[in-house]
Amino acid sequence: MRFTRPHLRLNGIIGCILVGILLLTIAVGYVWMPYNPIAIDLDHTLSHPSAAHWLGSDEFGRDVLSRAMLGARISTTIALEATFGAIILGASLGIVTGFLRGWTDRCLMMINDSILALPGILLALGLIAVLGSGQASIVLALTIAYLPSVVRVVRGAVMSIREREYIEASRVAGDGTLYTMFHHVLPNILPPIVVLTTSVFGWVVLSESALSFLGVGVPPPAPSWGNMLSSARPYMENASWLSIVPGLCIALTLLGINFFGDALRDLLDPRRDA
Amino acid sequence: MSESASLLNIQDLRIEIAPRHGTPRTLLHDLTIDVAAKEFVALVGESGSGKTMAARAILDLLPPGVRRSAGAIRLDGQDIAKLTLPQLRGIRGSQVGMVFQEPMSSLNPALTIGLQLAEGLKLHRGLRSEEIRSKCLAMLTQVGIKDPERCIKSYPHEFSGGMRQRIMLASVLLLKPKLLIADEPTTALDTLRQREVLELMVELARDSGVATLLITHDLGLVSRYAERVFVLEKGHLIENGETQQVLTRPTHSYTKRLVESRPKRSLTPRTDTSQSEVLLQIDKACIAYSERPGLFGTATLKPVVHDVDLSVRAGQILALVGASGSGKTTLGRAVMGLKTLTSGAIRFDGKDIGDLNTAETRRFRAQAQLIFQDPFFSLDPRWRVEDIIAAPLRHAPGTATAHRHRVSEVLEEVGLAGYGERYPHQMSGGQRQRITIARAIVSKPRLVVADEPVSALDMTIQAQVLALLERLQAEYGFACLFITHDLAVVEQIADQVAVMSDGRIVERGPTEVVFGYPQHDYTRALLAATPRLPG
Repeated sequence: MRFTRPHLRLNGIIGCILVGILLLTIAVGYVWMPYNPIAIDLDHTLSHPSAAHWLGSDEFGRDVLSRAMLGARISTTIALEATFGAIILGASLGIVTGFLRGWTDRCLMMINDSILALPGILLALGLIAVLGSGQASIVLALTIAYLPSVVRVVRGAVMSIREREYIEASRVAGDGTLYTMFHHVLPNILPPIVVLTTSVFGWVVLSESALSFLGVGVPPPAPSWGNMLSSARPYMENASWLSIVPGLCIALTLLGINFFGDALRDLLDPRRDA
Repeated sequence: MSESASLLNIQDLRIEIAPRHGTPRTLLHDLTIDVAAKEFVALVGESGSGKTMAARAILDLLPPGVRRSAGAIRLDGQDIAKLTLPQLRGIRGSQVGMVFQEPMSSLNPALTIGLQLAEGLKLHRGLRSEEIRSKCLAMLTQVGIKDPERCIKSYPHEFSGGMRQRIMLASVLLLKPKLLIADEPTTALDTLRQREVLELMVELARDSGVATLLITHDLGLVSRYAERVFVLEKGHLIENGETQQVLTRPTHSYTKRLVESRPKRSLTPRTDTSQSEVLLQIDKACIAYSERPGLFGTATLKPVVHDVDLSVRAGQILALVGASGSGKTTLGRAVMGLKTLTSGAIRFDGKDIGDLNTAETRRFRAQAQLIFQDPFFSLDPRWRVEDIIAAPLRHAPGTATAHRHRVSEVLEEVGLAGYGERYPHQMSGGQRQRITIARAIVSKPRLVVADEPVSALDMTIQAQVLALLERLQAEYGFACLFITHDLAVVEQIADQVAVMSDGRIVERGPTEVVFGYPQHDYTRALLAATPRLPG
């Protein structure tokens, strides 16, 4: 894969900046936070943004900035793990099923489609109810929830590639199926997979927040953007910053990751300079 | 010809491409063309010569990023540049009609033929629907559609390429334009269809008094139909005049080269292979596809190859000739073991390729190679040229160093030394086809199946690639099953010819005999349809 002179458009730049800020926030969070994000301070509950608490404090007097920083770390880690799980598993299944076709394809896609028929969030809720709450089960539930759509997209891409003559040329050269899949099919569907990764990441961030909002996310007192939003709900009128901060975090992360994905797609096309 | 009498007058037209980043590049330099009413004029040039851009400029249909920077285009004395968009729309279709190259994508697959034909009449002529219907039916009959009533209710996918091109022609001529622009209208068709469609176009244009501007790279077509010809090279108009004069006494060196690059019988005597051992033996081969059934139907078998008997001797070039859909490509794939036979057998070196064990398959793969038709799809865009060429060596004995050495040797032989590090998209069509040839010969095979190896290339490039293939064949002495629809190419390179029609071999024999004394009607029709240059 080659990277030649990038013509980054405005949204690409915005995407990179937003993703950069997210990563920087997480990195800073490991070495420094203004307060202990789970320390309760009942003398300063619901205080407005000020020099002491830059983004105010919540109903237990916990610093919102610190909680948002830790929330970024937790949400991003969960999202990354679930995304990579779904992409790696989904891409492997998609390549196999799309390339072999026949009965393998029919059986795998039947299972896949029946999972796809259930709404992702409902499936994740059910799985967490079975697996019990905790970070690992959230990751597993989200992986399984997003796996079927990855399989579908990758399978489609593979099916358009497998009819190309260079695949036939590989057979004429005497290559085995596995070799052809990994040396001819995989490199050619890598760009859509990379772009898919960024959008799956976006969906997973959103779903993780939704799960936390519904109270089945990371167990309290650990913060995540979703449970911060959820606990801010009763105070919406007199402490609006409590819901604005995590809401903005989710929105900007999604915006950034989607723009970043667009920029990546442009960069990864080998025929860009042709 | 006085300017006032001409229907289309292009004066010093200059077109340039202005990319968002980088400097503008001129695609067409000071082109001057005039076409009189009812005249048949050809614009000849290779891909990239700017001929399509010139045609698009006439209707102000240049793609984004490409613009006209100088010159004027007058249609009936009216300057196109001064027209407003509604006026321009009034001209498109109604005054100037256009037939495109690709019949598969120029008709809308979601609408019936009838709706698409009626579109123009409704827009430009404002006729009532009964009138439109009767006009459409009459026009379809004129272009040779047998059942026009059914045709207007059908969708484009129900017709073959030749039929679709007829329908395209009908839809354009329905509006009785003054000028018909045909941009490579028959390039996607085989020789017979090509002749039928062009003949029809010329006849209809003459009957209804339509001037025609034919854009093509095929000099054979030009000599047969055009009254005057304009030759473009790299955006420059280098020669123009009466067709006979330009083609028999070309003055510019490029035109000379173009005329000479028409395939002709090479003078070097070919080694006699009629007594050498039989390398490939096809016995009563039948291939049938199972057709996808409807929702509740049962699958039916659709035969594409019937009872074909064929043999290729070592070192021999056998040309398999036939129209598209005759089953020649399918047979070629079967020889490579990529399609399984329904019945019959294909023997390579005496062994049935249908029941080889793993080791034997490996040996067979190294000894039989395939050259593909379209070099834009047969090369993996993510692999470098040297890796692509080295691919068949992966299963061959020898060290990696020896293989690398062999690859650079082959690169040199096909004239691509030093290009090994590049990617396919950085190469031209002719260069890409050299890569596929290099890939086919790298393992020193005994049989090469070449599936229309030059039909996607321009005339002069075609001649070069054919010469290369001929030279390599003489050097390596491999047997070659050469699949093509172009008889001119066959005449140049083949020892033996087999003519295939509807899945059957209808005639076979030495090239001279088949060409000199064709026995079967189909062969005669094919020979008659092959465009030739005078003299």
